[in-house]
Amino acid sequence: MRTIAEVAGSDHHLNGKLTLPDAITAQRLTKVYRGGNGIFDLEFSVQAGEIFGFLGPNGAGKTTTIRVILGLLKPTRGSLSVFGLDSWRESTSAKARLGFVPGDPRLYEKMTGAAFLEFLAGYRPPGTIDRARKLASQLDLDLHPRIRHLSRGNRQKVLLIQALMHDPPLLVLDEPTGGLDPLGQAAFLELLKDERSRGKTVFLSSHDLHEVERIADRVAVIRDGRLVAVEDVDKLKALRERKMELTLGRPLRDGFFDGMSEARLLAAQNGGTHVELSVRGSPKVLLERLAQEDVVDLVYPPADLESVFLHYYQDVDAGDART
Amino acid sequence: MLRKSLWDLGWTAFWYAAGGAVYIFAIALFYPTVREQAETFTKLVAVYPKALLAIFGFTDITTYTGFMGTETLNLIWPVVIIVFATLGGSAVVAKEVEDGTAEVLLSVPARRWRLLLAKEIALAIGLVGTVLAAALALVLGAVLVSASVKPEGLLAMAVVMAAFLFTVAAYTSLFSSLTSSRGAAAGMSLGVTVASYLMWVVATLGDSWKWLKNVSIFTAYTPQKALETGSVDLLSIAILIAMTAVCVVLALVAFERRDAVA
Repeated sequence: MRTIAEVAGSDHHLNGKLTLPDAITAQRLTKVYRGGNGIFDLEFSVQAGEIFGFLGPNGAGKTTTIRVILGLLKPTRGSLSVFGLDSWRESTSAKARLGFVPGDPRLYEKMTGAAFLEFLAGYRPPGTIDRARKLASQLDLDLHPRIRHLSRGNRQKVLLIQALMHDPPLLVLDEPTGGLDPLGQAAFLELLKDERSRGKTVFLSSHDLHEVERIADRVAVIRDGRLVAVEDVDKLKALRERKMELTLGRPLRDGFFDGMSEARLLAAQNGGTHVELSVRGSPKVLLERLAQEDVVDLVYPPADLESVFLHYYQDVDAGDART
Repeated sequence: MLRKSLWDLGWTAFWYAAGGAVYIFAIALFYPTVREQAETFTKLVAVYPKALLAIFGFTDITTYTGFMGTETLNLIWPVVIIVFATLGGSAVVAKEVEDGTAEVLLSVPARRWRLLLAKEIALAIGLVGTVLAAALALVLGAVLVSASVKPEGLLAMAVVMAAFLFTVAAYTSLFSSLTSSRGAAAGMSLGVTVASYLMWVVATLGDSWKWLKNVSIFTAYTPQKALETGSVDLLSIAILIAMTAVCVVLALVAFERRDAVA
C-alpha cells in the first residue's frame, strides 16, 4: 500500500500528524495576455485522490490554466501550487509529481514511439521505461513505427503512456479524448477511474459535459477566463437545465405546470402543438404528466455546457439586477 | 536532450558540411590553371575597384591559400554555413514552440536552461563538423593539386571559423529564445549579420570609416590569414568567444524566465 507521502511525493505535517496537501491549489490565479485575454482570479483546490473536471468552452482559459500548472506560464498575479510546490518557482519539483497529456497530439514525427518514450523516460526515475513498455503492451500499441505513421488514436496512446509511465500522483489532461472514437473514449475514461482507485489525482480539462459528468467527482466551470462555479458533480447535474422539445397532437392542458418546479415553458409554436421546455434535475414528474398528454414526438438531447451556464448566468443576472 | 538534438541536427549538419566540403574540393581543382596563369590573373584583379574586391573577399590568388581564401573561405563557404548556423540557431527554441512539441518537452522535470543548453551544444558540434569537413577538403584539394597547407595553419583557420560561426549561432539562438518565432529570429539574425558585413566592407574604403571594423564581427573572420600564418589574433577570438558566451547566457536566462508558450 502506498503511503500518503508517496502519493504526494513529500511530507506534510500538521500537529504531529501526516496530512495530505491538496494536489492543486489556485489562489487568485490571474494570467493576462497582451490584449487583455487570460484567466482572472481563479480560486480552486483539487483534493488528492479525486478526478477534478475543468469544464469550459473553447477559449475559456482551460489551456492557460494547465500551462500555469505545468510552469510554462508565469502568473500575472496570484499563485498556483502542486502538492504545495509553487508551479513557477518550483516547477521542476512540481513536474516530477505530474504526468501531462496535451489536447493536441503533436509529437516528434521522425521518432519511433519507443524512441520518444525512451527520450522522455530519461528525465524520470529508473525503471520508467520498463513501465512504459508494459503500458504499451496493455494498450496494444506497437512502439516501433515512426510517430508520423501513427493514427491520432495511437498518438494519443503514446501521450497517455508518457504521462503514466513514471506513475505520478497527479495527471493533468487537456481535452485528452478529442481524437478518440467512442470506444477509445470509454476505455480511456475507465483507465482514469482505475488510476483514481490507485489513489491518483486527475485534473481533466474538457468542453464535454457528458464526459466530465461520467467520471469526475467535482467540477469547476470556467467561462471567459473566470470561474463560474466549483461544484460536486451530483449538484451540477441537479442544477443544470436541459431543453426538451415536444410535438403534441393537441396543446398541453391548462395548469400542466402547476406545482412542478422541475420544468418550465420556454416557447410554444404552431398553436401550442410544438413546445420547448427547460428541465432541471430529474424529469420523473414531468414524464408522468406527459404520459397523460397527446405526445407525438419527444426530443431530449444530452445536457451540454450551455445548459450549465444557463443556470449560472441566470444567477449572475439576478445578482446584477439586485445590485 | 543532447543526443536527441544531435540526432535532429544530424542529416542537416551532414549535408551542409558535405556541400561546403565538396565545393571547396571542387574549387581546389581549378587552382593549377590559376597558378599557371598567375601573372595574367594578377594584372586582371589589379584593375578592379578596391571596394568590389573587398566585398567578394579577393586577395592574392596565385598561392593555394590565397586562391582558396578568395574563392571559398572568405565569402562563399561562410555564406553557406552562416545559413546553417542561422537556421539551426533560430530553431533552438522556436521550432519546439511552432511545432507544438514544447508543451510535452517542458512537462519533464528538468530546468529549461538545461534543455536549451543541450540544443546549443548540439548546434556547436554540428558547426564544428562543418569546419572539420572544410579543413579536410582543403587538405585533400592541396594533395591533388600538389600544393601544401600547414597543420598549424589548418588548426588556426578552424579556430577562426568555429569562433565566428559560434557567434552567429549564439545571437540567432538569443533571438529565438526571445521571440519563439523561427522566421523572426532568422530575420533578425540575418539583419545583424548583413549589417556587420557591410560595416566591414565600408571600413576598408577609407580611414574615415575604419572605426567600423571595431563593431563588425567580420573583422575577426580571417580564415585565410590564419591558414597562411598558422596563428590567430587572440583578441579577436576572445571577443567572439565572449560574445558567444554572453548571447548564450542571455538566451538561457530569457528562456528560463519568460513564458515558454504564448
